[in-house]
Amino acid sequence: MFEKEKKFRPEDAETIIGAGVKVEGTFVSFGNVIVKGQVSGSVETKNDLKVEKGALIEAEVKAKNAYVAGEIKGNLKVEEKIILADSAKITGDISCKVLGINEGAILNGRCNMSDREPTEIKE
Amino acid sequence: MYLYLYDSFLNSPKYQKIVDKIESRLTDLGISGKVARLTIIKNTAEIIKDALRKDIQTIIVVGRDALFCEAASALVKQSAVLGFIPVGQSLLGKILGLSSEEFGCEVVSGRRIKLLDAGKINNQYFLSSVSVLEHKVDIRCEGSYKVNLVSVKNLKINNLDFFNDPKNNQPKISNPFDGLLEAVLSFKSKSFWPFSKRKEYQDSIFYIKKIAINSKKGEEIPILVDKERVLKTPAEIEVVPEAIKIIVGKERLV
Repeated sequence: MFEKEKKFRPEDAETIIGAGVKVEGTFVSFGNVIVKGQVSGSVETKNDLKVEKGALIEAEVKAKNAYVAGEIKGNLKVEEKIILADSAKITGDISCKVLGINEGAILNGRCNMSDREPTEIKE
Repeated sequence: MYLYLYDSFLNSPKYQKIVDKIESRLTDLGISGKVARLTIIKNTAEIIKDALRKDIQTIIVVGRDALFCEAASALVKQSAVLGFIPVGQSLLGKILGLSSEEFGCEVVSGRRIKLLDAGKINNQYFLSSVSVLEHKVDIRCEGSYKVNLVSVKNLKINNLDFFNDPKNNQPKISNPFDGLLEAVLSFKSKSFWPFSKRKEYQDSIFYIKKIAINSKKGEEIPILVDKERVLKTPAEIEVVPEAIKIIVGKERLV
C-alpha cells in the first residue's frame, strides 16, 4: 500500500534499431541500444550496446558494455566489457577492461586494455 | 469549484439515465459543480478558456477518450486539474485506472493528482499519440540523426498509449512520466502469412524528446493526432514534460 512508485530512469529506455532501418548521424542514448539494422556516424550510450548478427555499424562507438555479433567499421571504446561472438567482425581499434572473444570472431585493429593491472604469469 | 464538461453524445435521451446516476453520485460525494455541454456553437477550447478565466480549478470530462484528449490539450501548462469520467469503452480510462460512469465519481473525489507529460506537434498539443500511416517519410530525431527507411507501415509517436514492443512483440504502455516520447516504426509483413515478418524489415523503437517528420516526395502527408484530429506534414513533434495535472485512479497501469 505504501510502496514507493518506481521512478523511470532514462537508462531504462531500450532503443531498438530494427533490420532494414538505417540511422545516420550522431546517435546518443542513455539506455541500452540493440542494433539489428545499420548505423553510420557515431553511436554513444551510457549503458549496454548489442550489435546483432547481420547488423552493420560504420561509426565511432562508445558504450558501457558491448556484445557484438555483427560488424563494426570504426573504433569501439567500452568502459567495462566487450564480448565478440563467433560472427563478430571489427575493423578498428577496441578499448575495454574485460574482453571475451569467441572462436570465429574477426578483429582487425588494436586492442587496448591498459586500465587493468597485468596478470602475473606463474611459471 | 468543479466544471463538468459533457460530451455531445450524452445529449441523446438514451444516455439520460447514465447522466442522472453520475450527477446523483457526484452530489452524494459533495463534488457537484457547473455543467457545460458541447454544442455546435461552443467548442472544448472555448469552454475551458472561459472556465480558466473564472478561476475554475478542476475540470472533469464526462464522455469519450477523444474529448478527454482535447481537454488535455487545452490545459497544458495550466494550473487547473483535469479529471475524466469515461462513458463506454475507454482505453485511456483503463490506462489511468479510471472507472466508468457513476463508479468513476469515486476516483474524481479521491483527487489523486499526477503531473503527466504531453506532446506538442507544430503549434498544437496532444496527450495520447500521433501516427503516420503507409507513407515514405523523412525522419529526423533530436536534430542530430536521421532514420532512413524504404517505407513504413506505421510510424507512431506515443506519450500515453499502447504500442507493440519490438523487443518481444507484446503490448506495452508508454510512460507519460519519463520526459520522453516513444517513436515506434512498424513495417508491413512481406510474407503471404500475416503473422510472419521477413527479416529484411523489423520494427524499431526510439526514445526521443524531439522528432521532425517530412514527406520524401514533398507532398503533404496526413498525421492522425490523438486518434481524432488530422494535421499535415511537415511536422515538428516534441515532448512537453510535466505538462498536465490529471486525476488518476489507484488501479492505473502507468
